[in-house]
Amino acid sequence: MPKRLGLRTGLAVFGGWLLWLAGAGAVLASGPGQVQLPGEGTLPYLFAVYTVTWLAFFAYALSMSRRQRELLREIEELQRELEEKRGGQQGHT
Amino acid sequence: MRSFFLPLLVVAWKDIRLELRTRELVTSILVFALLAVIIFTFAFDPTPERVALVMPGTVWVAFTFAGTLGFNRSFMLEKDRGSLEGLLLCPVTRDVIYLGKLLGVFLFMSLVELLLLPVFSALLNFPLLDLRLIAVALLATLGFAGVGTLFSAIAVNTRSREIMLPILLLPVAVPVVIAAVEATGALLEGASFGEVRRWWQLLLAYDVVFLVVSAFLFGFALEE
Amino acid sequence: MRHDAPAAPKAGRQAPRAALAASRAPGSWGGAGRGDAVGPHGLILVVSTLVTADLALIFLWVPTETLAMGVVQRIFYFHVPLAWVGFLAFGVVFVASILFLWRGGRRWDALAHASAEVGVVFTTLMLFSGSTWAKPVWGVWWTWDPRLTTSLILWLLYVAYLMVRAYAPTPAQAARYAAVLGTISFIDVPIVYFSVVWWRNIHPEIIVGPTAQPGSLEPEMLVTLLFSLLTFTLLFAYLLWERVRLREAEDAVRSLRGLERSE
Repeated sequence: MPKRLGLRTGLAVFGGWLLWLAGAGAVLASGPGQVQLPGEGTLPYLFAVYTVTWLAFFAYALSMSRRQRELLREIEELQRELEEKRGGQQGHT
Repeated sequence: MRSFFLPLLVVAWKDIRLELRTRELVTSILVFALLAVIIFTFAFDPTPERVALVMPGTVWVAFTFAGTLGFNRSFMLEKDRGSLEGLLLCPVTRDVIYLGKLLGVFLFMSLVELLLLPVFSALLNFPLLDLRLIAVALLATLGFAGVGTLFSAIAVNTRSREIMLPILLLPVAVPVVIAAVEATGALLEGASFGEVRRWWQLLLAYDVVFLVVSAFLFGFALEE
Repeated sequence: MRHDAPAAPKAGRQAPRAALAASRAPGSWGGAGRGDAVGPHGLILVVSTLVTADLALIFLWVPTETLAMGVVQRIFYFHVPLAWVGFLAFGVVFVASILFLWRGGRRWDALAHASAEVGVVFTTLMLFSGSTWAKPVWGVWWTWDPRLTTSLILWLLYVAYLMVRAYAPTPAQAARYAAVLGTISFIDVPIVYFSVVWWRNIHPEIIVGPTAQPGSLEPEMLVTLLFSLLTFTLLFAYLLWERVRLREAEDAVRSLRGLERSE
């Protein structure tokens, strides 16, 4: 199923890219050698918020798409069973 | 008018007669609230200054939790004995059933509070029997019971129904608890009724809004 | 695993979607069918682009706040949109609940359900980000400030809403109870807010220090904030759309099961 794999890998790569951007950006934003800035040492808090927020969104979106796939498979299954049943009944009459 | 109030009183009277016969509800809420306050005094070592600080909160937390238990029982009995179907078959509108049930619950809760206030005054050494305080207590109880009656009709149908009602009711009742505690504290410190105006006005607004909305929504909570 | 049957043949890849469309009751949103045309893929693309641009703005473009907070102020561009989307989501629950009670129809129930769940996710993250911002700036993880307290109550209200949905005996009852709660909870929020404001006014604020956001936002900061608001709103739209679709698949499975049992 190439399409399914594609979406998932795409999401994962995108997630990694976001994290990288956030991390690199955070380091850049903290600025080298600006010792006088207020909020010194607050970088871990910033990083924690961004990491957790994006991981949560990805986990949520991924769990939804996984569940959706399971349900679609189940719908297909049920419908096939239903058709077989109907076919069987017609065979008897 | 008669066709509205008479059935309302009949619904309430049904609960009151049941209560007069068994005395289950009032007794259990009363003992529970008393116990809650006693347990609280162990938690904070009741010196006079500390009692003054935490007493309003303690009393209202006790009433709140005792009330949740009481509301739960009122619909659980209806459901378990199958009398809810009978109530639904009555030729009255749903809001009349709601107001009738509310009236019953409100009377029981108020009775418990009126009986316990002198007891708490004695135990905690505080003059709690005060007409202004009772007015605030009645307003708070009405709002609390108003939402509680609606939510207990919902909670009784869910799984794990005993725990569902407090989970639903307590967040919605936050304004009632805040207003009741603040007004009680201020009145006991000698504030006049006018000075705590904003709190009983808040309670009044809460009562009006949620009684109307709940009466309107109650039909959706009952429908089978 | 319930399904030990071999995977569907390649040609049948679209079959489940078709089956979903066929088995769906009238009056649903029809998300899955439309999904093949524009679909979540188009929306995903837009949202991904916006998120990347938003992060670039937040981390690379907007100047660092230098008066009081430093880098940690950048949480602001996440926190405010999370809060806004939380309120928006619960507003959607309120409107959908009223429409469900008034007009009926499973689509309104599905929308309210989906929006409540997505709203709880956003509100949880809002509380987390706010708390993490408060620790370095205020020195505490939490203070009982009116906005914080109201947010916490808001979160509790909609967690209870989702619990009732989960614990109701039938889907029809879940829908009705949830609609009642969705209406009451939203009406309750402003009353809670005012009561908490008055409550905090009586007790003096204990926390001192550089409070809240800087009084005036620099233009770059405002632009970044507005862009962030747009990004998160579209992210919400995407997640909501996914959740509605999921909910409709759940409904379809249930109705198919019922059909099978009845035959």
